[in-house]
Amino acid sequence: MGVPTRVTDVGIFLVDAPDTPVDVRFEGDRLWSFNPARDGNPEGPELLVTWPTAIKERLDGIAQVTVEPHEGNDTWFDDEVAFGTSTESLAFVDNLGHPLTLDKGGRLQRTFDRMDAASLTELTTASRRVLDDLVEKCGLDAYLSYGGLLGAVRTGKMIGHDSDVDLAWLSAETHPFDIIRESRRAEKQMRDLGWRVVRMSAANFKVWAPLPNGKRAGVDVFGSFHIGEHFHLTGSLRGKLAREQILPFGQIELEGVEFPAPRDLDGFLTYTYGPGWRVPDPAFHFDHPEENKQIMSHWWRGSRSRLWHWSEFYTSGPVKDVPTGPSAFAEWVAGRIARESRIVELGSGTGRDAVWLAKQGFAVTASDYSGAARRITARRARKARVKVPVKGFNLEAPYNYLTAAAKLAHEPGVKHVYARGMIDALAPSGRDGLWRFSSMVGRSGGHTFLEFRTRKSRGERKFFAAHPRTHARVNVIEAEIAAAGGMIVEKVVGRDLAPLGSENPHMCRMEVSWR
Amino acid sequence: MRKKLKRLLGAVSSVEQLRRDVDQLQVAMEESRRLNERLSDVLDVMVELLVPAVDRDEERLAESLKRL
Repeated sequence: MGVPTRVTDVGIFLVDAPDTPVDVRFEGDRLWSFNPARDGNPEGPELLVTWPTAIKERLDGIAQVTVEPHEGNDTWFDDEVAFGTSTESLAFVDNLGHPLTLDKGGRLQRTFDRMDAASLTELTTASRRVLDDLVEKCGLDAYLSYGGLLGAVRTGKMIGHDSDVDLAWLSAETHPFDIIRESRRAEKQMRDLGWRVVRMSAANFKVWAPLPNGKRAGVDVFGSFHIGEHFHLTGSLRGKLAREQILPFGQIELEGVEFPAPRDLDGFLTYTYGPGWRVPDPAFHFDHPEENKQIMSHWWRGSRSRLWHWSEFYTSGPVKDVPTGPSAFAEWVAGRIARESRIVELGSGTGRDAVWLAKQGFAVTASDYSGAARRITARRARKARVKVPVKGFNLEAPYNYLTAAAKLAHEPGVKHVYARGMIDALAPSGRDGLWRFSSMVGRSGGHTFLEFRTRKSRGERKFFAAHPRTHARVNVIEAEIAAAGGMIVEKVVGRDLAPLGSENPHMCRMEVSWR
Repeated sequence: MRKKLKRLLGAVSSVEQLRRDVDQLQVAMEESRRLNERLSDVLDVMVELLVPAVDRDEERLAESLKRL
């Protein structure tokens, strides 16, 4: 039965759509799947399912669009659609021309349904090599999990709409601290074995495995453990599953390669995906209870507060609204320090100030914990033909900022710290890192320059409305600086310091000395 | 009537107090959960530097500092 459907720049409009996964195809290739009941909002008599951000950003051009239920032979919409202003044909492909699909994490990825059998076997063989080292060299009880396990149980094959192979290990530890130590030992051991390892949280990491075709595959390794009465699987799964349902492992085949798998497959997949795990659903995405996400974030993602938001922002359309010229604060600071002196910027964002300061003759090091922001800054510096090293300093990760500050403190010469909007962007728990970093770097005699919105700006309309912000009280900041051993050399408080569009926030500027 | 009102005001104030207590506990709990990762970070720095420092092994110490 057909469902009246329209496709526009805004999204997909449906009338009386049944509650079933729906595929959206561009030029015949599946780009995205959604579920009308879950993803739609009433718009008059219709239901509107808006385009996900990753698709919306690239929606400019002409394409043949098909909308159809995932199961059955029905087609609800099949027509050429002109998006945006471009008259070029619109394709969602990677730089090698492979079609992309939106994965359950909201990213455009090359999914398994695009890969040939040989590539799939290479990928699973590489994942098995990672698993062998986790077991034999790191002493972990590692097993196949998430989509790989689901595909193996259903058909022995990767799930077409999935894009990665996931492994997990079952920890014998039951305290977060011991689990973190275990995860770090494994990371280090894998690095020592020659793998490229990236920490994703304090209890999961990614191993980049080289493939015979010269490419590489990211194999995610998730910690799983019992704490209290609950079984946890990183990212954010938390529920009831007995240890005896997981151990001793059985064996399962995926694309012709054997993997250890939880003993009670039905119990484990029900825990992971719910009781409907047997029914294919390309529109599936996790809908974790807020409480679970919070607990898991506090334990494992404490050094990544608000990171998701900033990474999204620096890869989204609104980042274009950030002014390209220097801030008034940059000009204020430039007038207070000797030319050619060294400046370390914390939270450099798009690099507008870092690059401008470098052009004025200062030796600038930019830094941001968002990789997306760092890429923008690096590009801007290249374009401006100035040398601006861009670092990944993270004031919420003591290992990161202690080692970074120690190295900077060791280098000869005076180093100033520049942090515009950093107090706004940091969760209050991260300010300890800000003072520690600044005081260590400031031992050379350099000052710290701060600008932030004060408590008086709380609740006011903002130019960038969606940012999570801290509106700190000036006296609280003063007390924290004093407690960290700093002395405020100059302080300016008021409006008209950083107007942006219709926003004219109440600001505080400070120059701080540390000796 | 006055007694009833007093009791009611007392109950409202208790609920307010409880709400404040819960807020404070949540902040303390979050901080306590985050502490594991922070402590682990500091431990990593210590472990990598302490052994060569105690051994007065300048070469290894310099190597560890370089690797950090």
